[in-house]
Amino acid sequence: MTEARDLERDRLFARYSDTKIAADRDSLLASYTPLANFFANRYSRRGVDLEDLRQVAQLGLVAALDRFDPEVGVKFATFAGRTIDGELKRYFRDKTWAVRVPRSLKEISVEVRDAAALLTSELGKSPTVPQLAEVTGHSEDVVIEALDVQSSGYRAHSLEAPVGSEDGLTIGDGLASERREIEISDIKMAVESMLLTLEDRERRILKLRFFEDKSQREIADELGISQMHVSRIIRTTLEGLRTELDPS
Amino acid sequence: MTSNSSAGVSSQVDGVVLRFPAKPGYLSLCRVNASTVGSMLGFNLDELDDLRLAVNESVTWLLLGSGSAEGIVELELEGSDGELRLVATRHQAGLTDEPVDDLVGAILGATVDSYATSSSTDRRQMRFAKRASFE
Repeated sequence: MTEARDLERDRLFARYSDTKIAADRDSLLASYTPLANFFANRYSRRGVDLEDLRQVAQLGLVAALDRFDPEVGVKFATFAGRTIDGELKRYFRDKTWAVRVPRSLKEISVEVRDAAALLTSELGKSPTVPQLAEVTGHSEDVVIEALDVQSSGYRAHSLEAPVGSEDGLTIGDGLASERREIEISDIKMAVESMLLTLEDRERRILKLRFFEDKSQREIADELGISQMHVSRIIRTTLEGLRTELDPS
Repeated sequence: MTSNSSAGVSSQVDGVVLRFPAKPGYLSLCRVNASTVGSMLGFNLDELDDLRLAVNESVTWLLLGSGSAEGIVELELEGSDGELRLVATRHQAGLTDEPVDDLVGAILGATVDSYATSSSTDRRQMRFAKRASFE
């Protein structure tokens, strides 16, 4: 039975390689779909819908079929397995890992931010990393990484956000290629008009911070809000401006 | 690396050089390394926040223009006596002139003590210096 199925597949492969008949391709895909599902199932229980995983695996199967060369001497199942597995891993890396911070670091990030707010209040000035490390019990390296996670709202949605499924392609890649087309005078006009579209408070904060050179602390005192809040508004507003400036 | 009287603060840090592909995915690498050096020099959280913004804008500027996502970026960090100095250079043939726009200029002007840029057809460079306040 298995032998007969293998012979039938070999025959289909040989014919598909020569003729590229769509019906043969469909038959081959249907024949190997259980293999794709097998790999998809291996990645279940990782917070992603199984149906999505099966679709990704199916894409891997299609890619394998398109790239497979029977002359090389490797069995298609072996080749397809590697391709499907690679597609699933890439999916997790691009769609999940890039935008999902490991839970522990996320928690530490919140802890560090809370500790920073407390220390700022106690000390009457912005704390240092060693002080935060001492209060939270984390190493200075971890505190620095946690601080960077806090700015991930600015980061993950800006230049480093992945676009589509192409390897390593990010918004920044598109942004850079678009930007060269824009004359500097247009940019100036765009920035000026965008500043006008901001909420009064956001515009005021940006003006105080970047045009009147006031510190976050001074702005917080002036507006009666926390320095953390000022920091967050600056990051999100800048991100908004960037998106407006470079919608790509 | 030598230490001064302030706990955990170094009067001079060893130079750090990063060399990476000219792609935005490496921005976090730059921010984390700059924050590490800044922290060693005694920067507080406000100053580290500013430093991260400045690094982001500087490296982003390097990545703009023709040949995007190509070439190599070198980031050099060094510091002494509470001052961090950064030199970021993109090496890429056929670079177009990419002026620093007003918003980026305003951000850098507010977040670092001094900055300067230079460009040629095969190299674009941003330098800045930022000092800790020790307040």
